[in-house]
Amino acid sequence: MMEILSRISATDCVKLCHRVVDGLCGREPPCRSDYSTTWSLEEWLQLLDFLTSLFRLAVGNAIPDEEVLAKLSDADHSHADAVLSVLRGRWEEIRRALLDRTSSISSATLQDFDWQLKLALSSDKISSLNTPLLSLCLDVRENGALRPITMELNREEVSTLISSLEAANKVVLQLK
Amino acid sequence: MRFRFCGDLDCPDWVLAEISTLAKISSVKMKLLCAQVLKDLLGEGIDYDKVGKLTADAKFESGDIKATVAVLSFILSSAAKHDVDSESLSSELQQLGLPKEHATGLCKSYEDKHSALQDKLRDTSLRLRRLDSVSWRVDYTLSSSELREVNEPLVQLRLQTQGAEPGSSDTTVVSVSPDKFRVLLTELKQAQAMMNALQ
Amino acid sequence: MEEVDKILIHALKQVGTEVGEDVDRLNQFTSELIVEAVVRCIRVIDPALGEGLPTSLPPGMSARFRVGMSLAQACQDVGYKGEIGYQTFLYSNEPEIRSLLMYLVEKMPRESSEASDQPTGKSAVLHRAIAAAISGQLAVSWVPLNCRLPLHCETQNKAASHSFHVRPLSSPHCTNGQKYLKEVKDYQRDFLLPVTAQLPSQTSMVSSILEQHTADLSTAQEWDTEWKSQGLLSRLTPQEYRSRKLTRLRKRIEEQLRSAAAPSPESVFGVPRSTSELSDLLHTFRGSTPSDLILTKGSHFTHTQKFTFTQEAAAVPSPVHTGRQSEGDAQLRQQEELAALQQQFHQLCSDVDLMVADMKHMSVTNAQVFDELKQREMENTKNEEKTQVKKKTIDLLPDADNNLQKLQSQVEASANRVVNLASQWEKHRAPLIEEHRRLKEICSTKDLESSTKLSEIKSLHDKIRAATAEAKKKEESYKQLVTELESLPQDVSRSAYTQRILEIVGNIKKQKEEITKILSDTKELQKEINSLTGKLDRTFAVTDELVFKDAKKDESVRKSYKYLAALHENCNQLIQTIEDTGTILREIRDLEEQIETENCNKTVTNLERIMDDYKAIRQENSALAAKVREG
Repeated sequence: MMEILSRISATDCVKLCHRVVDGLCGREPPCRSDYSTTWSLEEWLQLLDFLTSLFRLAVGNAIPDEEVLAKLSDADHSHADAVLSVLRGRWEEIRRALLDRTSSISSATLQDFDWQLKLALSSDKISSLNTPLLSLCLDVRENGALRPITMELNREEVSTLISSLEAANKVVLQLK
Repeated sequence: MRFRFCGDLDCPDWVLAEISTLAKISSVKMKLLCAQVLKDLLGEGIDYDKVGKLTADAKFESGDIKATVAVLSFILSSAAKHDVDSESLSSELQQLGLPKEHATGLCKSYEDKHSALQDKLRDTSLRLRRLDSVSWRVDYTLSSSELREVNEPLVQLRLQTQGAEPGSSDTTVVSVSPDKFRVLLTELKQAQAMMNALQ
Repeated sequence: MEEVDKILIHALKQVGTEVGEDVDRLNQFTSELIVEAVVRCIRVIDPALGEGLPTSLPPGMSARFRVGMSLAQACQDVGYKGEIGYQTFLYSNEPEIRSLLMYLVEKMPRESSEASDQPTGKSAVLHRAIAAAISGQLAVSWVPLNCRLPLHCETQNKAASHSFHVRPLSSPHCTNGQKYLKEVKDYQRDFLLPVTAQLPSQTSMVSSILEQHTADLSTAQEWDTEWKSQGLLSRLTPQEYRSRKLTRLRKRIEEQLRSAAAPSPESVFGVPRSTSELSDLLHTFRGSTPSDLILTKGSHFTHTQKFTFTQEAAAVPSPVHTGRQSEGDAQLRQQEELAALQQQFHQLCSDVDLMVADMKHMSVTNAQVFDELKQREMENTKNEEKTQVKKKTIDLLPDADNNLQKLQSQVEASANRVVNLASQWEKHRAPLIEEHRRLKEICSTKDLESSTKLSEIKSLHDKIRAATAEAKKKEESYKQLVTELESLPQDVSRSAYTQRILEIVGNIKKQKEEITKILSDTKELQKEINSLTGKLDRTFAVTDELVFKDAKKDESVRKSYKYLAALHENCNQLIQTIEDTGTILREIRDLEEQIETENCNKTVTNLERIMDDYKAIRQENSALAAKVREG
């Protein structure tokens, strides 16, 4: 696998590896069109797969540098060093991405949330309502699909929600 | 003519017509009838047998009885809706032709239940989805297939929400990473502060 | 009058008239200023009417006259009923100007008073703002989709609202005390894009940055509160505190896991797997915290358990693995295999049980044997000592006296040495004890100091928090007050005015009282006069009658009757004259007053001025005519 990596220079290799890590962390992965002259599609896919799994494995299992180098033994020295330097530099970031993946193993995870504070002025039932309402929108990722959940909370409901979240937060704090 | 209890609009014709029907029963009977209608409006249910008995000596047809109940519930709910005080309601009803004793009796029962009626109306105003209950659990992840050493807490939340029509409750179970959870809590606290500043 | 002037000047200033700072009375107004004030007032009252009026006086006399005339006409159009002409503006006369200006100021529309009538307060301000926004949005007309300007986006364009979507960002964190690896620095310098370029879409970038900041901020805040409430009291550095918390947490989890795993292999299926995981876990614990003493210091039991668990961990994975491989195969085979595996598990479990029991037994017997051995050895050494002493005494027996003496001398010497040593020991001990005490004291004082400092720090933290909260509150109330102040009308001396009005009202009341008093006095006087005249009439009639009766008889009485009649008549005349003088005096006073007011109006001088103006206009006219002729 590493011999096809040596078709590009070590500095380009560092660049590519950083882009691969970017993709692993949820940003833009490297673009195939940039390297279409160097590798065929099959090679490209294989290479990406190899690098991604290498980074994931190394960080996930906390493999020491020597073993990583052993896995890269079929490449020449400068390329192996390049990959290793990227791994070291991005260790924390990869770890955070893996943490995110771990928490998203659950069937439904909270992806995003947003809130709006509204003042209901009037309704068909009563002409001056004047009730503040908090509309809370939770984007829940469930089986790979985003499902929005919206709710409108009045003052009491907000305070019960906050107090129960507060209690949970106390426990979370102890576990950190 | 504009009436405050109709929201500064003209009084509907049917109400005008049925007010004369209302004048046919005695003011005491009408006050008791008011109590029944108020019960209905407050969600405690109406006793139709009693209503029938109350209107028996005026020899009302069933259509008249229905009209009486409808006009009373219109007057009471719409006065509460527009937050009319009992004195102006009384004077406006008298302008519409309701005898004075009837108007005072109606307004007396209206005044007693005014705030309760408004609370009820406020509660039944449209709400998209309300929160019924929250339960939580905090897990501590030791290890995972992705990462051998995780050692991070993970919050599981269960939110039970209720839709606009009763009985349409919905339960969501969601796991929240600690960072997200903290942000959510902080944001909610900010929202609460703003909410409290509104009043 | 001064108050009225002030109010007038204030109102004029609001309209936009440039009244100088030093002008505070109407008689200081120049005719220029008067014209400007009047024009501005008229412009506010009726913009169409005020449109054609200039705010300044032109130089030429005839032009001035025309301006004055049009101004007077405009004032009359507005509804002023008083006497007004061009001279009112050009040759000002204080009361006239005052009454004109007062009329105009009162006529001005009062939009500012409307605003000041509204209630103030946060919710009222908000409601007004909502009402204004809604009416503004209603005023914007609907336009088709293609013609929308940014103005419409807010209310009519649904696409303008984006959903909040967060993606991870990478940014260098500056944590002091933590050394960066060279590679990390290289990455951040050479490859890391600025956060604004890391994400493809602008909106998710903004939301991502917002969320990350909130997360960082809340983390910092939470750590801060925790550190202040608990961390400070532990008297550790933050790193130490954190690591101690972590080890405590790990210990707790470990204990719980162990207690959960302790009621062991009852259930057939679940246990081996969980125990293998547990052992794995314990391994990771050991690996991650080498300084962790809990495991190495563990009891005998944990050691044995550990041993068995690791053994099993080695044994278990292979059957599981084969089981997994055959997952796609026929169910029968799977079940068979499962059964086989279960049997194997059974076997292994019972084996483990047996082994554990064996081990326990063995270790117990081992310990017992060890103890016994020790006891025996101790006994041996004792016995050996005894035999040696006995042997020596037997050796010394033959030469008893000599040896006794030697022994005594030796004993003495040793006693001396002991005393010597004791004194020396004392010598050394005293300073050492002293020092020990001193150090102890220092220690306790330091302890005390540190605890007081800690409490000080705590109280300081509390104070800081309270102060920030207070500052926030004050800032907020300041903001609210500022908005309220802005919404208030600009009448600065409103209260002064009301006070003045009250004073005036009081004065008027007093004057009214005086007037009523005088009125009642006059009424009383009138009454008295009336009663006196009545009395006079009656007495006259009586005397007249009496004298008339006697007059028929007596000549002298007749004469006196005549005198009486004459007296009466004369007196009546006298009274009449007095009354006449009174009315004339009153008339004189009225006339004098009129003269006064006329004098005030400077009619003569005004007339003279008008004459002058007339002459000037004629001159101008003739000059113009000459020019025309020349031209």
